[in-house]
Amino acid sequence: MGLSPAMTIARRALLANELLISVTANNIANANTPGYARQRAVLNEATPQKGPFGSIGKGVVVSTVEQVVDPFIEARLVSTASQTRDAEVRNQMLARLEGAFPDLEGGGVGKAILDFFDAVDELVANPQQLGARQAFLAASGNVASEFRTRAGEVQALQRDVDGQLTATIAEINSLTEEIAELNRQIAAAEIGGHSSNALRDQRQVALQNLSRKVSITYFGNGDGTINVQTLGSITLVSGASAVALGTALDPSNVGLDGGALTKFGVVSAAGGLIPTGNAIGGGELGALIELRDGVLVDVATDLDTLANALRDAVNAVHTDPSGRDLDGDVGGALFDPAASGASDMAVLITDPRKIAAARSANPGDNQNALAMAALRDAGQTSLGEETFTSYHSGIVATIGIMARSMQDRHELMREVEQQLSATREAVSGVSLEEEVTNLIKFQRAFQASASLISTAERMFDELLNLVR
Amino acid sequence: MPNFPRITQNLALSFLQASVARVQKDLLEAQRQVATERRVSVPSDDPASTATIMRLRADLAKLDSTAKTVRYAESVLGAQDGALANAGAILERAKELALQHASTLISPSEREAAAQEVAELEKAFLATANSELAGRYLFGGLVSGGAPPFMEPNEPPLAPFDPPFDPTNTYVGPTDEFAVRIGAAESMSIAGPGEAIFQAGITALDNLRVALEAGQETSANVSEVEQALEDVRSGRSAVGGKLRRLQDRELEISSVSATVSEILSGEQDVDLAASLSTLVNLEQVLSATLAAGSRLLNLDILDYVSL
Repeated sequence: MGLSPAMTIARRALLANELLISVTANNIANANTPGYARQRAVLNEATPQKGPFGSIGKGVVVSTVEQVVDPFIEARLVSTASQTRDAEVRNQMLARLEGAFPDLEGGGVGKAILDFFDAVDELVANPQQLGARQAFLAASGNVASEFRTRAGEVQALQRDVDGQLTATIAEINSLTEEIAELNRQIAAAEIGGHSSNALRDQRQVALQNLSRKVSITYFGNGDGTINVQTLGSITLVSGASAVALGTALDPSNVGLDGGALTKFGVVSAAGGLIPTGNAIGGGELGALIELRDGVLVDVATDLDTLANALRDAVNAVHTDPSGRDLDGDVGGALFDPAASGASDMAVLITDPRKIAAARSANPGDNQNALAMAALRDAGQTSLGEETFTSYHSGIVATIGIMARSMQDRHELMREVEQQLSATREAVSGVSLEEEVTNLIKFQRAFQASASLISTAERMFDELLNLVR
Repeated sequence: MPNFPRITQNLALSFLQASVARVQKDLLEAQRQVATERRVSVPSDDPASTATIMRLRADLAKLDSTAKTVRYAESVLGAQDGALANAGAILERAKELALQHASTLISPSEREAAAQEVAELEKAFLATANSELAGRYLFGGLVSGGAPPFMEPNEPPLAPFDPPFDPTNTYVGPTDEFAVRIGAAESMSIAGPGEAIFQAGITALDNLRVALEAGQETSANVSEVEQALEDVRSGRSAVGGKLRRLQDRELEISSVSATVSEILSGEQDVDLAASLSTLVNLEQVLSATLAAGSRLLNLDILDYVSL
């Protein structure tokens, strides 16, 4: 047995510690890189050599550099991202919807309805005065204007949501293409059996981002690649290929503003769209669809119901055959009966003399105005026997309940995501204390290995001097 | 906080950030409440209270409007009360004249002078019956503007189609009453046709004048004027009753408004003292959190080891 094995062991130790220091340096460098999972070099004792005195160790070898990850936590993070983003988008949109109903700030439809009935009371007291009639017309116009404004806000919100759908689909396509490309690179890099850690980190980040856009599941193919599917089993990524989603305007699905809404689906080979129904949902996309086709439509419908109930009740009194305006004529419709709801509510009468406050030719007669004033406290059949103001309070309170519920849900999901991120950080995050301690340890080992080489070298020199 | 196997710098930092963000959010909410003095500014602050707040505000608006109507009705009825007091005074004077000229010893010239006075009283009485307030005749029911509810003699007739003046049937106004709403299910007539109040008076005064102009003694007119006076007193009594009801209603509205305002305040406003206390407390919590975070972040292994 000579000095050569000792030199080999020292050289291997030197190389191994050099690699350990490199891995530590890489960990420190990526301490703040999003999605980075700390790495560690796995050391194994080199296969010992059998000799006359038994097995003699041959030093250390680095078997691999692996990521420290918990696949269960990674999967939970991906699925949670979808729910968090779903709640976040709904929270943002409901906050905007809530802002469109400034009733607690002393404005909005509710205040306009109260002002309208105050003007009716004024008309009751002074049916002959043009000033009171003008004020009544102004209050009527204000009610119609408020209904149009609020309906317009809901329409604009629905159009924004629809526009965002297109952007979301484009982002989904971009992310699925990125994942497919990373799949290809990972498969190529891992042919030798070594894990491509950096690429896997990038893919995990892309998966999490995709999950924010749409709910997904994913599973490995055994060659380092993964397949990604929606919860409804539509494949988005299969190994190195991505399935493209597309959007188009759907004339059969009309929005609150009368314009066509966006439809989406899988792009067929011929370039058309294959509808996916409910198979693609969750995340940002699911939230947007639910808001566009559910919540906003419901609110708009409630506003229409209220506007139509007010229009019909007031018009019924105003056009009563016994009603008379200042010229002794039967009153015409105050609000446009041809209006479809809140969005196009309008006042038809412009001449204050044409307000039918009377039920006789007498200009001082206020009996029709009295009948109109009684509407303030009257339950309306079309509103489930609620009054106009209580029905409107219900609309605003319902929006408040939805907004509050989604604030709480978003808060909860953010907490859950933070907790999961913290758990991941505890497992996969880089601890500078740990790395610096390791660095000192590896530095000392490196120094010892170098000393070993130096000692072996001196021993060689001694031997050579013997024969000189 | 869960039992993490390892605590990295990023983990400590994210916990610090989350803690600071939580305190800052609460602090912002406390500042908003103190600045606006409102506990509920948007429906999501308290959805359950939102419906209550809006209902209470609607109730307050309705009460305000009703109070306005009640005050208007009080002004109309107050004016009627004044007019009826005046009408009563006229009839009292007429009664005095009728009593004075019931004797056969009164000279013709005295009767002529009295007839002239009664003629003036008659005009004044008619003018009182046709009193207006802001364009509305007080005793004309629904009539407003245009011809007065009680016909006045035109001498000579202004136009050929002027109806002849008949002192026993002067009321030409509508028979419907002018009513306003003083509650959700309560309306009150505040200007009825004044025929029942004034017609007897007009007739009595006219008869007295005719008797005096004819040089007749007026003992027969005394009871007629007294009866007319009774009609006016009766009318004034009804007006007084309505005024008392309106005053009661105004007090009721004021009391209910105060109660509703108090409940509304309880629903939407903050307890300022409690909010300020919370604000100060949260400022201290934020300060302590930042101080703790600062100490944590200043700990660095590189300060203790040399590589």
